[in-house]
Amino acid sequence: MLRNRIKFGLLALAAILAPLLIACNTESEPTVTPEPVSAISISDAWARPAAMVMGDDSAMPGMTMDDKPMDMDDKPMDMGGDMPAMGGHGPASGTGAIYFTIENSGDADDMLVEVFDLMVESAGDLSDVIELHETSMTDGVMKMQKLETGIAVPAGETVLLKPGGLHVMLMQIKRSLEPGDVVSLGLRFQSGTEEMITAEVRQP
Amino acid sequence: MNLPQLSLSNMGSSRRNSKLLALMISVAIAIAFSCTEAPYEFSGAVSDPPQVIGDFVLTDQYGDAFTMSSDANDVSIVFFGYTLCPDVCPTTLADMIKAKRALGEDAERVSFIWVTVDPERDTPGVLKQRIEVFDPEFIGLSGSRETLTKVWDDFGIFVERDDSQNSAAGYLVSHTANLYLVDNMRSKVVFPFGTHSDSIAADIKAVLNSQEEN
Repeated sequence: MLRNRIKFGLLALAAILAPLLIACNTESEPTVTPEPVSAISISDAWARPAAMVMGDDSAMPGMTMDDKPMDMDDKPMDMGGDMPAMGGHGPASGTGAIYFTIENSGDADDMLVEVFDLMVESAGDLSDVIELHETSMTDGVMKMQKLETGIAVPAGETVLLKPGGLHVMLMQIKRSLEPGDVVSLGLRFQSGTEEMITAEVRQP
Repeated sequence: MNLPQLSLSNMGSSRRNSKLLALMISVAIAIAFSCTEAPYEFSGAVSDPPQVIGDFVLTDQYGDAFTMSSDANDVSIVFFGYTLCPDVCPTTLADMIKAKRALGEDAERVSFIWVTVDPERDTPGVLKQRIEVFDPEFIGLSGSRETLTKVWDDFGIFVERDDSQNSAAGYLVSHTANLYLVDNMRSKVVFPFGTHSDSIAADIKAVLNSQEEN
């Protein structure tokens, strides 16, 4: 009889403690819940047509210019020859812009911190100098700003890079971008996510 | 066609007839109004009075002198920008190209001019390379800062060198990004950044048409 009572008592105790223990368990070990993560996807990437521009310290009124060395269409690699610019102080100064849409469907904020040239095109690499910029317009005056920390992409939000706003600025480009060309770039996010994008060159 | 009979004798006698008369009068007024052409409404901001632009001589992308007053075309579309600018300037240039296309044959009567706001870096050779990507028929103008400052002032262009950005581009240039329609050395219509190219083309056509009437 006593044994039965003890058995019953233990069972009852277990019955009472079990839910408490379970409750306790979930609260005391928060590591069980998944950490918030960002989930980045990129769409609608495109690039503007852009000219590779060689530096040029020539050029005030009265000077004549030989058209031929400037003609980049047929011989892009043969520009050094007799171009007055090459020995001058002007570095290559062609710029380009890349635009795309970043969607963060995760539940953690993220930030685009770096864009880099993947150098996968047969046409050769494009640019070693790539920055994130934002254009703003106040009373008709355009001001461009370099974004030192990056482009924030908060959890659950979509950020548009578009003309007159956020954009990737390519500098000292090493080849001209003609409509139809394709540019491959890598995007690095604060979370560690890396995305590869291909942007087609088109005239908006 | 059977029009209702309206004569002085039965006009007052019938309520129905007077209603009809009122209707016919209002139709007549509506027709009369639609016949007199409504004045064209510009999409851009019309400068009233037009801003007088002093004559200037700058250097085009081929290294030749360009005198604004000797420009043979009927109308000029003038834009201010710099080649290092990757975003707003190409957007505006693309709008100019689209407006030019929308003009069709009338485009031959229009000069499309880009005046630099960065003369130290935008030499004619640099402008030439950049313009060729857009439209080789465009005119790219550079010159001494002194000459350019006068041109900027005449158009009311704000230009400010910005060294604070720590960009690999070196300094950036903040500048007014409007398009200006110049007719006979007068800036008549101003298009803010983002004006649709079709609207720009329509405004240009309206100015060209008004020149033909005069």
